[in-house]
Amino acid sequence: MKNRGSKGMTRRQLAGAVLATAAMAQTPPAAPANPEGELDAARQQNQRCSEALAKVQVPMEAEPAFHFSA
Amino acid sequence: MAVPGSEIFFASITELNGMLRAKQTSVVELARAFGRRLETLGPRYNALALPLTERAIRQAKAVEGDIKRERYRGPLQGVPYGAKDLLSVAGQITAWGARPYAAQVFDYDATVVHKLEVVGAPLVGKLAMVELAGGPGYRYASASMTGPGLNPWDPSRWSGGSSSGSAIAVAAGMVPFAIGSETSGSILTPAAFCGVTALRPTYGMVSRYGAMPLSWTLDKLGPFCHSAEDCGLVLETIAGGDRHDPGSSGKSFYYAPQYARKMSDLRVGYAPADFSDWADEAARPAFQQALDTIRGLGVQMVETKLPDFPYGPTIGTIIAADAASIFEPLISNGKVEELADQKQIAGLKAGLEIPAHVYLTAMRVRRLAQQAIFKLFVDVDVLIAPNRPGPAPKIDTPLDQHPPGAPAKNPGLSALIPAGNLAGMPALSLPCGFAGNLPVAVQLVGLPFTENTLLAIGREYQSRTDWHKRRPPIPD
Repeated sequence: MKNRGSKGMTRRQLAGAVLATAAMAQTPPAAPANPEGELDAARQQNQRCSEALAKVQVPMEAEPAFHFSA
Repeated sequence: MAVPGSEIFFASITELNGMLRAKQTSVVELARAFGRRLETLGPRYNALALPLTERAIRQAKAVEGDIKRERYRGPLQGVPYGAKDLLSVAGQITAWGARPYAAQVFDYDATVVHKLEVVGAPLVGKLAMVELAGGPGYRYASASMTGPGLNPWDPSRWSGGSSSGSAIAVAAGMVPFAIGSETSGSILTPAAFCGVTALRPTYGMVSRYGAMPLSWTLDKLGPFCHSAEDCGLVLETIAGGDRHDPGSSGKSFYYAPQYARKMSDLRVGYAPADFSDWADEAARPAFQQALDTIRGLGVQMVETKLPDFPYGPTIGTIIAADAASIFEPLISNGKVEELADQKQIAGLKAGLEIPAHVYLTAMRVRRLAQQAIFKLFVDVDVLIAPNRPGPAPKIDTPLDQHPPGAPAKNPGLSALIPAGNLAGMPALSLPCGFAGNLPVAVQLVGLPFTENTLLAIGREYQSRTDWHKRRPPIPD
C-alpha cells in the first residue's frame, strides 16, 4: 500500500504540487495587456517598494540623503 | 602617411596617440576611418543615433595643426570617440533615445563634450540609448527610438542598456572609446553583455552639466574602453569640478598607476555564493576563473556580504519619483504616450503619485544603507562580484522576468549594482570570459574616489588575461 499524504495524494504527487506552487511563486505576473493594466501594475510596484521601505527601522535622527556627497 | 588599416579599430588610446605622434597616421584619417565605420556598422546594430563625421573631420583638421606645431594636449589628442545621445552637443539633435525629443537641439555643449574638445578628441557620433536612459523601468530591449541595441557577439541578443550604443560601438571597434551614463546599471550592464571595459565613476566626479537628468543624486557619466588603462586616461580628462553641476564633488582625478598600492596590501571582499549559487550555470567557470586570477595577483581575499537593506525598492522609489518630477511636462502634455515601451510610460505616470513621505523614507534608508556599506570597508578595500549573473538575454526576452534561482537565502553581493549606486561608489567592469559565445564580466567596487585602486587591479588583471582583447565576429 502506498503511503498517502494529505487529501489522498501520494508523496510524489504532493512533492510535485509543492514544486509547481514554488515555480508559480517565482514566475512574474504576465505583462499587462493594456495601458490601464500597465498603470495598475506600476502602482502596485510602487506600493510593494513602499511596503519594503516601511519594514526598515529608521532612527529619527536619520536625515534624507539630499545633500548628497559620496 | 599611410591610410590606416583595420588594425586601428581595436587599438588602445595609447597606441593610437603613439601612431599620431610618430606620424604613422593623421588625426583626419583617424576621424574619417572611425566615422565611416560607425556610419556603416552603427545602424546594423542599432548603435548610432547621429553621425557627426564631417564635424569630426573639421575638428580633426584643427587638432592636426596643433600636433604639427607640437602643441600636445595629452593622450586623447586626435583620438576619436562617441557620446551617448543624452549629452548635448551645440546645434546638433539630442534626442535622449526618445521619440518625443526627436527634434530637440541645445545651444551648448555638455561639460564632458567640451572637455574632450579642449584636449583634441574628435566626436564622430552620438550613440544610441534606451529612451530616457530607462526612466523608472522598461520591459523590452526595443525601448528606444533607434530600436533594440543588438549585441555584436550575437545580434539575436541584447546589448544591455541604457548605454547600449556606447558599449556596442566600442565592442565592434566603431570608436576607440565612448561616454555613457549610469543611474543604476546603465554602464555596467552593457559593458558586461558586450565584453568591454567600463568605469562608473564616483558620484560627483564627472560633471553632468548638459546631460539628461534622470535622478539628481544618482546620475553619473563614465567611459567605455578597450582596457582599464584607457578608462583611467579618459576619466582623467573628463573628471573635475564644475559650478554648473550642483552634484559636483569639485575633485579632479589623476590617473597614477605608478603610485598604486601593492597588490599584497589590498583586501578584496567577495561572497562565494555569488560565484556559484547566483551566477548562471554556464557562466560559473568564467567567474570562478576570474576569482582565481584575482587571488593570483597576491591580494588578500576576504569573505563578506552586503548589509541587509531593501536596495531595489529604495533605488526604485528614488528613480521613479525623480524621473516623474523631471518628465512631468512630458506626462502632462500627453507626449509620454509616444514612448516605445508601455511599462516605461506607466512607470512615469505612477511615479507622480509616490507620496512625499515614501520618497523621504527612501532617502533616509539610503543614508543608513550608505553608512552600513562603508563600514564593510573597515575589513576590505575592494569588493568583487559578477557584474551580471549571466550573459545577454535574447532580444525579445521581457527584462522584468527574473530567472528562477535568484538569491533568496544567501544574497552575498548580488545587489551590488543598486547598493553601489545608492552609496555613490565607483565600479570597474572587467570582461572575464564567456558563457557559450557571449561575454561575461566581473565588477570591482570601492569606496568613493578610489578609482585608482580599482584601475590598478584592473590593469594587473588584464596584464594576465586577454578577455578584454577578444573581438566579436563582425561580418563585412
